[in-house]
Amino acid sequence: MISLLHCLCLFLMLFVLGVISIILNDNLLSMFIGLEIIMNSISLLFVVIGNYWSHTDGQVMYVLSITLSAIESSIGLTLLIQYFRQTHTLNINKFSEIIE
Amino acid sequence: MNIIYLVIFFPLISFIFLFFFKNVLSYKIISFISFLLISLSVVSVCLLDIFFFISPYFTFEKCLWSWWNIQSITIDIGILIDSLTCVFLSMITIVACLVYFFSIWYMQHKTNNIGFFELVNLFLVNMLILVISNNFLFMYLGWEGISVCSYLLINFYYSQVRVNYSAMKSFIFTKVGDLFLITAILLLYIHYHTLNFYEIAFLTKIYLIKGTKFLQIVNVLLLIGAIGKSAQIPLQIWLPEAMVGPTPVSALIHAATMVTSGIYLILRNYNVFILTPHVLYMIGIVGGITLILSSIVALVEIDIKRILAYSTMSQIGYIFIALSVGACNAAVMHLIIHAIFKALLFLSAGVLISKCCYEQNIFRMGNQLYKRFPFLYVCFLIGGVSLAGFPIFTAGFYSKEGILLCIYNSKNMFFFIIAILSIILTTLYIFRLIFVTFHTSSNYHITKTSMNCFQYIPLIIFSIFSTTFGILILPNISNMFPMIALPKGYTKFYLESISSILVILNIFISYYFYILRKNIVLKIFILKCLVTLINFIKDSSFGFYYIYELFFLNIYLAVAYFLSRKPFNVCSCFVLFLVKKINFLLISIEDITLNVYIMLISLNIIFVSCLIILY
Repeated sequence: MISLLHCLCLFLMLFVLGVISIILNDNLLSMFIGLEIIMNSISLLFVVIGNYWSHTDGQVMYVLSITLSAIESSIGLTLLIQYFRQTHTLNINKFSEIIE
Repeated sequence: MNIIYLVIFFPLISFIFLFFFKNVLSYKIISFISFLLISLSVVSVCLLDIFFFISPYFTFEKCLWSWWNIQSITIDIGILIDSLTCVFLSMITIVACLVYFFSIWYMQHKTNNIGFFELVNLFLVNMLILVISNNFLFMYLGWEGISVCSYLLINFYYSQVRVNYSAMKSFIFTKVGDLFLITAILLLYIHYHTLNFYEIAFLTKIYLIKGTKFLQIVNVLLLIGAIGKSAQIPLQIWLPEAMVGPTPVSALIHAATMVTSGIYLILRNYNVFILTPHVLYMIGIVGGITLILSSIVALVEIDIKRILAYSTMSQIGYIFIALSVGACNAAVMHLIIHAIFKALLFLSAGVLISKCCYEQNIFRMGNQLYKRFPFLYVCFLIGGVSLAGFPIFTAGFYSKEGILLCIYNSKNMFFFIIAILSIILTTLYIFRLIFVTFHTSSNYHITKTSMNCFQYIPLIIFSIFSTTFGILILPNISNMFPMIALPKGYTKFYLESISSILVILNIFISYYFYILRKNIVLKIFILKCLVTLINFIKDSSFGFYYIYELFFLNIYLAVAYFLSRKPFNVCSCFVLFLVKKINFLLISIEDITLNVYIMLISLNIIFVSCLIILY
């Protein structure tokens, strides 16, 4: 039996890794991967806490959130490809339009 | 009874539909669909009318949901239907529907015409909220909403500077009245702990609300609120100014619906007003002064729409007198008939103006117009005689007689003399308008466009209802207010014959002055002096401009000047300095990369969650 604390540590590590990968990367694809990691770590949290309180709600939420993240990633990848076709770069700072 | 929700629902849907689709669909489709929705609203009102025809004593009150719920204060959003509401609902929706139909033609080639329909729908929703609500605060929502919509509609031709000023003026003047109204509402809540209309009426019946000094203050404040919306004497300037808007707006808002909301307020709280006879008398005084002054000014005004605006003011004043002597049923009757014939007059004036190259000066509109537009002439004539109260054939005659009889019955000589004077003046100015517009000859060319059904149908319907036929289909609301024992015998007959003789006599007088001897007014010295005097009164808006300037403008300027000097401007300079520094700081943060933004956001989240955990 894996204890709750271990699971929470795993979640926290994954979450912080995701946030750091968003913060440090310039590349849109890497940031996107970071977002996916965050999303999945939160899904993990749902399952773990649901299991701890012996509820099935957590698993239901997991199914929901994984569906949503699949949709979100498909849309995001589509946009990413379109961006790349238009600008031939994936550097996030080049996309900015508010610089005078 | 659930049909009542549909009455508000359809204009609201129409507004939302227009808001989202105005740039997508064509003008024809949009105007057709929104007209269809408004006519569905009319159909539901008609069903409601049938229901009230069967059971006139029915009262329906339902709380939909709780709007505010702070400690002990609970304000509900609730609806209240009784026969008074039903009468107002039918008047508003039917006039609005016909005017809407008319404006499909009128706004055809104007810029941003769909925005116009959108605003009319929003106005309609607010007006319906005003009459349908069961408490003061929900009513106040509609009350504010119609003044905003009225401002936006007056400001419709916003490219002209003059229009902007007029719209601003009318908004500010109605806003002054609104401030008094909200003060009255707050005072009522503080002392009686309820804002529900029926609960307040109940409290007056069991003598928990008595005619004290406090209630007098509240009633005066309520009255000023009503005066502001209904354009009576101290706050009357906005109504003639509001005539710069499109003509259908003048017909709908500034003749038929919005100006009646003040009367609705008084009628709804009539139980409270009865407790303070002095305030009741004050209503009559205000109405009487407005009636006489605006009728006199209408005699010399040369803009066709402004004449009609002054006439609206005077008729509302007449209704105020009727409220003052307790003739509520007669007042409501005249209110509805007035809405019908004034909408008729405005719509036909709108057609006339658009046919005469947008010339609004009645002396320059055209040559012998009654030969060119016989249909319009007949419509205008029907509206005019109904306004003047021509005997037997017109609806205005019966509704005016009802009020006159009640005034006579109240044994108040002052009001009676004013009422008789108003009959004389009304006939004079409306027939001056008709004769000068349609019968004089002047050499101005006219663009003759063909009439189509969009103009014919509303004008014909309004004309039919302005005749005696209109009085027959009026709903019965006699159960709402205490009946007055009217004198029996020949009094009614005598009064009717006196007023009929006066009306006919005055038609001949204006015929003599404005057709037979056209320039006689300018030749006789005394008349000339009188006209100059009245013009002076008109320009200074009954002298109220000077009062406003003296009391409000000068004081405001003095305070502003005082604050701009040495010890006070240090304070404002410091604020300015602070704002500039903060601005500089924020701008320097703005110009960095996305990754730093994300880091700042994460740090903020951690900081806030730490704070939450610690405390």
